[in-house]
Amino acid sequence: MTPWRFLSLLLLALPAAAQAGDASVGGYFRVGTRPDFQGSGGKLGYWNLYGRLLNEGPYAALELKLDVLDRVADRPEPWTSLHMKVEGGSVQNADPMGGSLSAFRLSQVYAEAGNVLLPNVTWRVGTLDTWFGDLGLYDMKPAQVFYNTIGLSGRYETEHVDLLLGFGDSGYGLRPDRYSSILTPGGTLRLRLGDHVELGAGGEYRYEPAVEGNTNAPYTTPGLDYEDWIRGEVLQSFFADHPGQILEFPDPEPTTNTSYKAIGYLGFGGLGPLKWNNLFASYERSHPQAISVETWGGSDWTLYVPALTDERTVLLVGDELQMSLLPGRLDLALGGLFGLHADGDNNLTPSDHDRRYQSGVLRLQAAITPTFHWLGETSLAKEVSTNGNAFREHADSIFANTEGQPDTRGLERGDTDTRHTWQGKTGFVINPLGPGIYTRPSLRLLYGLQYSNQNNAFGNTFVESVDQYNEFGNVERHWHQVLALETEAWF
Amino acid sequence: MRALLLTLLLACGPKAAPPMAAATAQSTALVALHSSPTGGSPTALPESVQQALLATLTEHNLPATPLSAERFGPGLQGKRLSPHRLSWLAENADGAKLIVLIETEVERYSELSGRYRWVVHLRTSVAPADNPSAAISRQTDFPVFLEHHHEREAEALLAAAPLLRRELSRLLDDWIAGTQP
Repeated sequence: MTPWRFLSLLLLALPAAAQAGDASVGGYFRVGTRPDFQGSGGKLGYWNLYGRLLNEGPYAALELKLDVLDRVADRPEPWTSLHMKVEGGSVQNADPMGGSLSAFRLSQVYAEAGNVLLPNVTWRVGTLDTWFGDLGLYDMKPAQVFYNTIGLSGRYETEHVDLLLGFGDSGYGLRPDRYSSILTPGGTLRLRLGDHVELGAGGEYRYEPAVEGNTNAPYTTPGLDYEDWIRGEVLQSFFADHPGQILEFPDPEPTTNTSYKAIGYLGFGGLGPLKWNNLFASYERSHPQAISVETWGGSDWTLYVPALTDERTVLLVGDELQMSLLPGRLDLALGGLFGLHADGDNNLTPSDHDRRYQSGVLRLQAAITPTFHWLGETSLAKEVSTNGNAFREHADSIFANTEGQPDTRGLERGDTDTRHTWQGKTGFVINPLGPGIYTRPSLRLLYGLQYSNQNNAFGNTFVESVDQYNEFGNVERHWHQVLALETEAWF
Repeated sequence: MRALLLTLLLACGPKAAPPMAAATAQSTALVALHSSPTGGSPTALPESVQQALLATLTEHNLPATPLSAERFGPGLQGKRLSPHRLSWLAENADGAKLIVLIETEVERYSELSGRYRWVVHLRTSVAPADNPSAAISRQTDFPVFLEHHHEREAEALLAAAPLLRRELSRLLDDWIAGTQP
């Protein structure tokens, strides 16, 4: 049976069964306020590498599910359900977007059906996003596939085997403004080896074919020089060499883009105080960037740049273990994250595609009473720019530059290539549902302290210029503290 | 000083209302079962959940004896409706004066922002053993959130144990309040 016939059968089944529909809703939110008097935007540090606690903003998600045909025990009858998820990062009075719906998106829409054609197989048509699990301390999913894909998948699931195969199109996910089809086959396999060990592996492959004549299909502009491109001087250099020869600028040539992602997973636990340990890894060759735009002579020129962006890779390894040190009294979560981003096309300038980072996060939560807890967390992180300086240690870092000399043509940013960050967080938590480091809802009163060798290492609106017309002056600050009142819940 | 503050904090906290206790102890037969969506005989709830439910019954002065899955499994095979299950339980109550039936089904909802959302469907019934048709019931559904993919129905029921116990306690309060003179 073709996917289209399967889909049409599914759609035909809907009207007759809709009367038996059982709608339900689930969701998640976190919201709070983090006042400080040092000028931050309400976060202790830059990002989740230091632990998600106090480093994330508000968020809300709502997932709707309609069981058009219920699963019934003992009856191998077809069942089907419809899912829609709306999510976004804004809440009234908690961030600059003010809770605007423009901050939200319909991130998942899919229909699932089972007991059709094959036993133990769940068919899905719609968004296919799937992952092996989460690093709760970091709020990250290192082992995730089909994030950008709409298509069809089949999940074969038994007690010990979970096999998912799917294919679809990631064109709109990866290029929302310049859609061209990006065929994406892939899958995951998870094995449960007894009660204490799980193994998983998977991946996806993306293929964007050349389509001559389609302006959104992949093209490449021949002869682009990386340094000219990164400086935004491709047109300037060309016309310096070819004065007035506007028709000589090379036409783009059709090309084919490919990329891939491989993921792995090892989970084990249920051994003494060790509740569970998740180890995730992924290696991705990112899909090439399609275009960039330069302005020259009052006109916008489109440059087709896959050849300059097709060697970007990301290796990500993350681990998190959870232990119950004193059952019902004291819980521990310990996490580690390592990332290596490399761009084989770029050996000139620091960027997010050329960096290495690693961190560790330790959280303890003690139940003073079943519903009133103490929480403590600490993290240590190191981030290295592998293509030169990317961080500023000092407000007047221009004087700490190479030999203290300004370099207006330089491609470095800052006076050091390494950022060290330490964070400590502590406070009290109300957990109405009882003990547990991830029991929710949680109502928290927290204090957070950060030290970074980078100056003002948090989101801010400080003026960094050291020129004489800077009316606000410069601030040298490496310690940062916030107070947080926040809540988080799943429902 | 800190110990004093902590003591004051705990002393000032709200206290849970004591459960309503039956005037005289009534022996009770308990069946607490889980029906799997994949079919088969109903199974017993995890041991720690059973113990929590037994403790709740004891708090209400209703000393209970649970029927094992080996016993109620074959007997309830194919019986999906609560009245039929209560009738079977009444016939197999071994002289108990009261019967309590806890029925659960667990359904996976979806992966939701870092958690695996499951829904526990619960129906709790109490009836005199000599008249199961006079049962009173409470039915509710509530979500539980599990952290790992390998956690399934058993873990969802463990996570739901405080809510199961709370629902049973409320039903017993109503039963006792309604049957006392």
